[in-house]
Amino acid sequence: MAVLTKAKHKRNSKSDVVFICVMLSVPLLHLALFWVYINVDTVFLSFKQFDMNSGQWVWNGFRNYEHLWNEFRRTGSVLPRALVNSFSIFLWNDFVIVPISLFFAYVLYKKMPMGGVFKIVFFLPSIISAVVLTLVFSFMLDGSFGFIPNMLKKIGLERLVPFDGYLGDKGTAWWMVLLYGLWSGIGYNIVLVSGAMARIPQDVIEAGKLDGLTMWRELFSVTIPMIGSTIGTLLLLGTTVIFTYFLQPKLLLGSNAEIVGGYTIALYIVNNVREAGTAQMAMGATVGVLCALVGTPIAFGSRKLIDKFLPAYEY
Amino acid sequence: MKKFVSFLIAAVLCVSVFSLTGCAVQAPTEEENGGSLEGVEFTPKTGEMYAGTKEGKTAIKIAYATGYKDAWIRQAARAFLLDPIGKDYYFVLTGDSEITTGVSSKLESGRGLSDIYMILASPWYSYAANDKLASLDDLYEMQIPGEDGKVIDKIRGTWKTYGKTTNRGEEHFYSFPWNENVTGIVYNKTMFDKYGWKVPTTVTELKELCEQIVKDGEVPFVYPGNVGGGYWDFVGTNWWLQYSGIDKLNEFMGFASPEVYNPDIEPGLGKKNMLKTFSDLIVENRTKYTLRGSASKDHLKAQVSFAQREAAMIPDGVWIEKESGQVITDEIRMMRVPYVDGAKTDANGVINVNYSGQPDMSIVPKEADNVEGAKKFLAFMCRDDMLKQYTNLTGAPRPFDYDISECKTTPFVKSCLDIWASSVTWFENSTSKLWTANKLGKFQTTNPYTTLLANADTITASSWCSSEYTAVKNSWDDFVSSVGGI
Repeated sequence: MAVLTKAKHKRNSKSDVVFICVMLSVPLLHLALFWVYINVDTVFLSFKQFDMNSGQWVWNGFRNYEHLWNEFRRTGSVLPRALVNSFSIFLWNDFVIVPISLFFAYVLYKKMPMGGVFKIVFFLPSIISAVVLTLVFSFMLDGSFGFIPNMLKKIGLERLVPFDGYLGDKGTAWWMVLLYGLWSGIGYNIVLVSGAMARIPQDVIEAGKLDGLTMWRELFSVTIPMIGSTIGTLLLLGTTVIFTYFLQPKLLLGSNAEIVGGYTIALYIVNNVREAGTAQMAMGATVGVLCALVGTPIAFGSRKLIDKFLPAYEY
Repeated sequence: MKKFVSFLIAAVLCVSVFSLTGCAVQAPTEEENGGSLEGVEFTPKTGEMYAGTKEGKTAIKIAYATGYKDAWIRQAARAFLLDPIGKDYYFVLTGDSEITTGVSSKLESGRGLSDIYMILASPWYSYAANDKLASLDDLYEMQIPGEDGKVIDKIRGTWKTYGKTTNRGEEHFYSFPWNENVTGIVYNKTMFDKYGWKVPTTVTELKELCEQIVKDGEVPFVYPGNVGGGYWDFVGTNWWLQYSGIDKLNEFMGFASPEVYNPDIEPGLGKKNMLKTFSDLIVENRTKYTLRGSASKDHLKAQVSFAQREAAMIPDGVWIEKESGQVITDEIRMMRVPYVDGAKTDANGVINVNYSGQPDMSIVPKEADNVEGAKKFLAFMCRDDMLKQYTNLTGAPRPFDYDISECKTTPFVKSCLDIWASSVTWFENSTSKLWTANKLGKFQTTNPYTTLLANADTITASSWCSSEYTAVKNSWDDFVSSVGGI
């Protein structure tokens, strides 16, 4: 017994420590490089400007923040609308896409005929490249040869098709981006929620049925509470899109995003950094720092609310 | 049975998806290569091309924008390898449609760099100021292989100085001319012949033509509304050049004061007149003269509509045939942008100008493995036979002095080259820090063409120009201080 204890103790003191260090080194290195370094560098960059003469980054105080504030207030600036759009994506995700996904996942969970096929049909857009998917979507809506406008024309509803096309009209363009988000995002959610629903113990449901549990009551009183942690994760993910959503409006609206009110904060950063050269990187960093300042309390607040209303149950 | 049906449907859907998204590298045809690749080995998958063997030879890695496809670079590389000058080299050719936007991060990371990047309009001067580009001074002074003259003596017009910029207080050449474009109005000649429409030479005639086209039950224009102002700038800047003249536009691009934006005096006045012309012709008649849905089309969808005869004309450039030639079965031609009333004249009449859009250029990273090989190849591409071969294979000119009449081209390309050869070409170019730092541009605030089209009821050409002027005046001190003075 004493020998065994000694051997165990020896293993803990040496090989376990080495093992723990090796295993921790990768995530720690990752954290140091891709989180600490990048974020600290971004904060510093927001206080600098690129000097074209010397090719050096020079200290600029709060001037970048001042420029950004001036840009925000400028008549015709895209930033106010970009802010509204960015938050609308969060609301759309959490209050439209997630509930609809939940509804469809529940229908599939209740063994609807051909449920497996529908699951694949819903999931397909999630595995196709966004470039291809946006292309298909925009072809479908094209004002002159698109399937949907032509179908509406044929049934005498041409007035429902804007002259500039759904993606070129100020009144409909952003709604089409949201619709695309619903179409392409619902499948991923359905798969996650269906997986969570499948793990609910059947004896709980059966016990409920003996007490006269209806389908609606089952959904709201049993299913949703029992998969609360999964729903909470999906809702929390919704907060992260506020400042990261740019690819879809960029691919669907192109450079017309500015004219039809399709800018988001992330698209503003991308267009300022990626396509406007080194000199504008500082402005991108400035927007990024402000996003972090606004976004962090939103993420923490959301987490608190989610934990309160959708607590995780273990079963 | 139910499982079997589910599996079957899922399989069919998956195959459909994978056939839509998947691709395989196939051996290119002789047409895709621009002719035979005899004498060299070419592996499409890796892009490697060599004569005999690549053992003991140095690679020249080239990443290029693919708008003009791949034939021109493959044939140029082949010619270089078969020439004594290229005996010590082999190529790695990478076509990349996103290289123009991707090159910035590649230069920043410094990893996996190509030796030459052939890119479209981009802020290359900031890459130079960031010390990421190799100086090309010796390339400009190099003797063209097999010819008597120097490279710089063969370069046309503005391009002679365009590649110069400052890095750490010293001025050097950092970019090299690659391609020049011809822009304007492309028309469907088959439709024009069918209806007996005449190609207009003035804006007044263009307006009459549009009315006639509408009377004949067709639509005059389609335009790609979600790409760069709907390509209307290819017409608009040509009109501005006609109104103000090249000298005034160069004065504008100097950005000496906010007054260059003043819509009451030149060159701002020319811009206002140009936008008024655009507004009178297109904006006020957009439901008659432009195809429904144009505002939401990208360039490919607009070209598909043009190919399907949904409209008779499209503002576009010389590249349209390469880009969409496979779907355009009708005969097409480029027309010179019709003259405005009051266009600048000289002793020979109206001064013909060609706005080439924004410049396409080559750059060589400072940290590239083979800077010398890159320069040799770029100089080799300036040979007469290489320039003609380039035009034969792309249908586009390069900004060098060479006889394009000897080029074998399609009737459409010939119509473009005729315009190019008989015009002074202009493109945006400035040494002002306000421009290189991206603070000021040809158009400030929003794109005027799409803004006017989308806000026909509320914004006029004059009001747009006035708000642009006000915005620049209000931000001038801010801009100047942000670049450390001008």
